[in-house]
Amino acid sequence: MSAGLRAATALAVLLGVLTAAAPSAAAHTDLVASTPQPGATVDTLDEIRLQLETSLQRDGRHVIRLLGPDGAQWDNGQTRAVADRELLAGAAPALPRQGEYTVRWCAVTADGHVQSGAYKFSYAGPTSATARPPGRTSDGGGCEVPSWGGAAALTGWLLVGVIAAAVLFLAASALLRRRVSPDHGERTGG
Amino acid sequence: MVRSIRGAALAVLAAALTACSGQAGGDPAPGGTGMGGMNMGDPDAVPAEQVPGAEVAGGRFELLGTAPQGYQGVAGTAALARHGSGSTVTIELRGLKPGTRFISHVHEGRCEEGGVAHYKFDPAGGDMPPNEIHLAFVSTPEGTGYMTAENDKTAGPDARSVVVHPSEFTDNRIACAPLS
Ligand SMILES: [Cu+2]
Repeated sequence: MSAGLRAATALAVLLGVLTAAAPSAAAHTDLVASTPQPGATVDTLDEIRLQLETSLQRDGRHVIRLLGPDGAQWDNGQTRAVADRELLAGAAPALPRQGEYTVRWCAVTADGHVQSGAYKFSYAGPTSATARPPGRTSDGGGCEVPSWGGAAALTGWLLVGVIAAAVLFLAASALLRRRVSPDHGERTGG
Repeated sequence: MVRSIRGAALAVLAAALTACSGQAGGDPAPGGTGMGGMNMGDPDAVPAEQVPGAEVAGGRFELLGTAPQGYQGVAGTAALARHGSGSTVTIELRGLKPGTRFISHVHEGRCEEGGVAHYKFDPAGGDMPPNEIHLAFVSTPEGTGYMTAENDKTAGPDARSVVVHPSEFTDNRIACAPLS
């Protein structure tokens, strides 16, 4: 496969992803219930438990991230499906401060779709000055938690990808043109 | 083949650069933020209260326990007009975080129940417009928000409330207004 074709393929794939991802990024999530609840103020925070509307893939790469007011990761990095429609992740044994924490999650449903969502809640329990983020993650990879700006940001990143692919393709095709003589150059693509 | 792909790549690049420069100001323009041409509202549409010959239902937004911090002062109204050419929903809010993206949906549950699930015209259909009514908007620097969404079907009795969420934290329900 020529560099130009490869770049074109990458471009096509990215465009496909962009088209497919855009509507779902704006879609509502199907979180039915959770601990802690969105907007709640809690005094203890041992785990994050999410109950979803849809059956989950048994061994799907589900992710729950707990982010502190400082933006650091305070979950234990071990999200797992504990029931057909329930996800669980542990929190760090100690937390550094009270304030508004964020849960970001994504889950792979039994039919292969990715659901994602995010919410804030407040933590008003005990704190420890020596608390350190677990900093290790064994989950993830299969689905992606919305990291910043939600739907708008996702579009932004995809846009960056598309631009990169377009630039790459233009560069590759320019290179191709220079190397291949005009008689053959335009025919290599089929 | 190669030439046409290159043309497409150039077009993508041009379009992407245009879109990027449009967002470079940082502040998203107020108004509809629908994606992929999906109907997420039109701030210039005739508001629900002014649709001629319509049957209008609505009420005031109340803060929900599922709101994140910073929305204690949220207030406003929602109205649903059922008329000959379908449905019109208009929301008006104040006390929002300024310059922030929000998404609202017509829900099927009452506000006392937190709104429960989204209202769907076809219960077996999809979870995006036009099978649901969504209103996307960006709050002004003063923390107000306004949007109207139209749908060519007439909403049934199960369209009971409007719920507002921050777009970045869709699982947080900020406020709810009854539609009856
Ligand atoms: Cu909603």
